[in-house]
Order: sequence, then structure tokens, then C-alpha cells
Amino acid sequence: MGPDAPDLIPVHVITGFLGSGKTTLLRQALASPAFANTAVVVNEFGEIALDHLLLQRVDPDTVVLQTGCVCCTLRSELGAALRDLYEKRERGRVPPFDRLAIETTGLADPAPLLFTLMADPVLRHHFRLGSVVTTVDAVNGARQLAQHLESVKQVAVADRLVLTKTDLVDRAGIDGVRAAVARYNPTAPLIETPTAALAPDRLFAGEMSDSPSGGDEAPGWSHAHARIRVSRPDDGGQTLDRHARDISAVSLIVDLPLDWPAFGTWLTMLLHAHGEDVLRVKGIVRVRGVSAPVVIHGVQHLVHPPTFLERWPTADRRSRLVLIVRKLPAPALERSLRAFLRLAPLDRRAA
Amino acid sequence: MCAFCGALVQERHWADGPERRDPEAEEAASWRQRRQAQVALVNRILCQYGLEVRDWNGHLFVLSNRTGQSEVVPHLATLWSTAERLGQCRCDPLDPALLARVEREGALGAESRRGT
Repeated sequence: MGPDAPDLIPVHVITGFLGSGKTTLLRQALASPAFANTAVVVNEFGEIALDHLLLQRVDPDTVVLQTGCVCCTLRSELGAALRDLYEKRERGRVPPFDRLAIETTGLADPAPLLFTLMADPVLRHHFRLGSVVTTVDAVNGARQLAQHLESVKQVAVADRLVLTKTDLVDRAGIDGVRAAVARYNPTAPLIETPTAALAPDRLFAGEMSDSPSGGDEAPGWSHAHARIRVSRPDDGGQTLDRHARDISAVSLIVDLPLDWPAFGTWLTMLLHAHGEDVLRVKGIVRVRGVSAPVVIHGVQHLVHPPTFLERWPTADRRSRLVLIVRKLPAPALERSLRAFLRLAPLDRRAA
Repeated sequence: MCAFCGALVQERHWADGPERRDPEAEEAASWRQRRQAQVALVNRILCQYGLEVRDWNGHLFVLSNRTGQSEVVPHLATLWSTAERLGQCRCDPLDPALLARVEREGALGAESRRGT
């Protein structure tokens, strides 16, 4: 997941709702020289098997999981498949692939798959999570986001978003989908295809290389030198499913360096109590006593080991934390973080 | 495993802080200092539930309740579920009662430090 783990094989995850163009994207990526030496894992689920045949011609290292859905029911099987693939690589029975791509089913909640990659005691010594790329159909994406929680989760966990079929929709339609997507993931860069050329090497570059952007900020935390912006789940004129209405992106911005013990205490406690409702945590933070920016990256209960970026992506050196949450009110999150940070002794205080 | 006391040395947990590119550059004194700060801060939360934590060898935590029951926990992420069991409580950082107390403490602490 970053420059700190050069020997681990990156695992890129391609997810997206049914018919949103995951396989097309994967095939384009595999055709690129930047994606030579890539092993592919797809799951067999209904029509996807046909896609697998196409993929198999592209890359013979495909491992087909035979039953059910990768993300929901086959975590152990996925783990076993990846261990098997790694063993074959070590024994020279398959070419020494440099990266792995996993295509999920269109109906999958990707979180358990990410759990498997991040938490499996064997896998995490050989593989690291690369980028999560989510495809969104420009024609049906807004409706799918409004009606299907799985679609919301797929968008929420993305490091990069690819808006597909933009040639079939007018500009207003594209803008509508972009707004719907931004409601659940305001930080991931979104690429429109086929109008914009895909650059697989950039699309699957190290996740979190783009800093979360705070966007418009409302005043708050004035006495604590920090501000908060709340992205409200405005339904944009559509009738949102109850689940989709409950999800919002909360952006917390802290001006002064964070006290790590206070921040770590707060985040572990929050994820303990509400991890299932914290779909995603992304952040780039300034930690007291540390000059390089620190990247925070988590999915539900699991958080990656924080890593350093070489440098700040922009001149803005404030800590930015984005939480994509379900049924967690932004004012309560803001109040809680502020209270914990204020517990730090004054000489270590952040906010 | 520690050769002297037999304690299992845990892998670093994310809540211990970002790992330096050059781990040797992180001096033991700096690690201990951060660890002490972490324990002190967690205790300011745990007192809400009648619990206390102390550091063990810089790699584990020992969590105790008022009746003297103690459990070893490897890191902060598992500490909260153990705390709920030992303290018969719910550890929720959004709990208004907890936040009200923590806010009072934070404000009082700031005032007293300004006064000194």
C-alpha cells in the first residue's frame, strides 16, 4: 500500500455494480504494457463466467472461484486461492507476476474482500492492498446508488472512480451521476470514459496519493482552530432508498498538528463502537513532531498501518480526515474528536 | 517472545503510530514516551467506566477493574471490547455523558495550565 512495502505484491480490486463495465476496464488495463505480468482473479457468478473466458485469453493466470460471491461468502476460499497462486509463483509453476487484479461481482459488498487482504495473517506477508477502482455506469449509476446499498459501498471504498458509458448520456446526466457519487465519496478522483483516455498505470497507482480534498468548508471549531465540513446526503431530487439516505461523507479538518495518542485513542474507540457504520476512513494528517504527512486509510473495522508520504501534495498542511458513515451524525463526530484532542496535554495539544 | 518474562511481543499496531522508514531511528526513549502518553490518555477515558490500564513492557496493555480483575490486551483496538466486559459498560466515544466529562476535563486542564 505504499512505498514502504516494496516487496509485497500489490492487489488491485476492481468493483462496481452489475453492468458498470468492470470487465471492460480490466481488459483495457491488462492490454496496457504497464499491466504486463498481472495475475487475475475473478469470481464465477452467473454471467460473469463468460467474462472470465475473455479474461483467460488475456491472462492464463486467472483463478476462478467456483461458488458464490467473492466478497460475501468466499473469503476463506479467496484466501486459499491467493495462497495457492502465491505458492505456484514461488515454485515457478506460474510466471512471476508482479501484481494481482481481483474483479468482484457486481452485487458484492467489497469490504469483506478488503478485510481478507488486510487481515489474513498469511496473505498480508505476501500481498498488499493496491488500489480499489470502482466503475459507475453513467446511465444507471445514480439510480443504482439510490436503490442499492452495495452500490453505495462500492463507491465509498474506492480510491479511484471510473464513470463509464458517458457517451450515452448528456452533460446534465453526467453531472447528476457525478454529484450522486460525490455524496458518498468526495475524495476519490473520478475519470470519465470513454471521453477521457484511461491510463492504467495511473489508475492503479498507489492509493491515497491524492490527498482528500475538503472542498467547501463551513466555520466551526473556532476556539479549537479547526473546521468541519459536512457533506449532506441531499437526494438531488431523487427518492433515495432508506439505506442510501443514511450515508454521508463527513470531512474533518484540523489546523494544528494532531496529538497521535489522542487521535489513536479516538479512532480505535470509534471503530470499536461504530466500525460497521464507518464505511471508509481516509485522511492525510499532520502529526505533532513529524514533518512528513501521514496517510490514514481504513475500511470499517480495519485500518492500514499509517504510512508517510514523501511530501505534502499541496501547500495546505492541515490534517484532513474524511469519514464515510452511516447513521452517524457529523456534529457528534466533530464534538467527539475535538474533545479527545483537547485531552492531550497543552504542550502536545492539536486542537 | 521475550526471553526474560515470556511475554509475546506483538506486531506493531496502527494505533501505535506511523512506523518510521528507518525503525532504528526511532529511539527506545521516544517509544516509551509515546507509550506513556498513550496510557495516560486512555486512562482519562477509562476512568469513566472504573477501569485502569497500564503498560506492560512497552508492547502490551494490562487492563484492570475496581475489583482487581485484570486482562492483558495486545493493542488499543482490542482494549475497548475487553473494557466493556470488565467494566460492564459500553465504550462509545460519541456518548454524550462521556463527552461532557471529557470536555470539562479538557477545559479545566487548559485553564489550570494557563494559570500556572
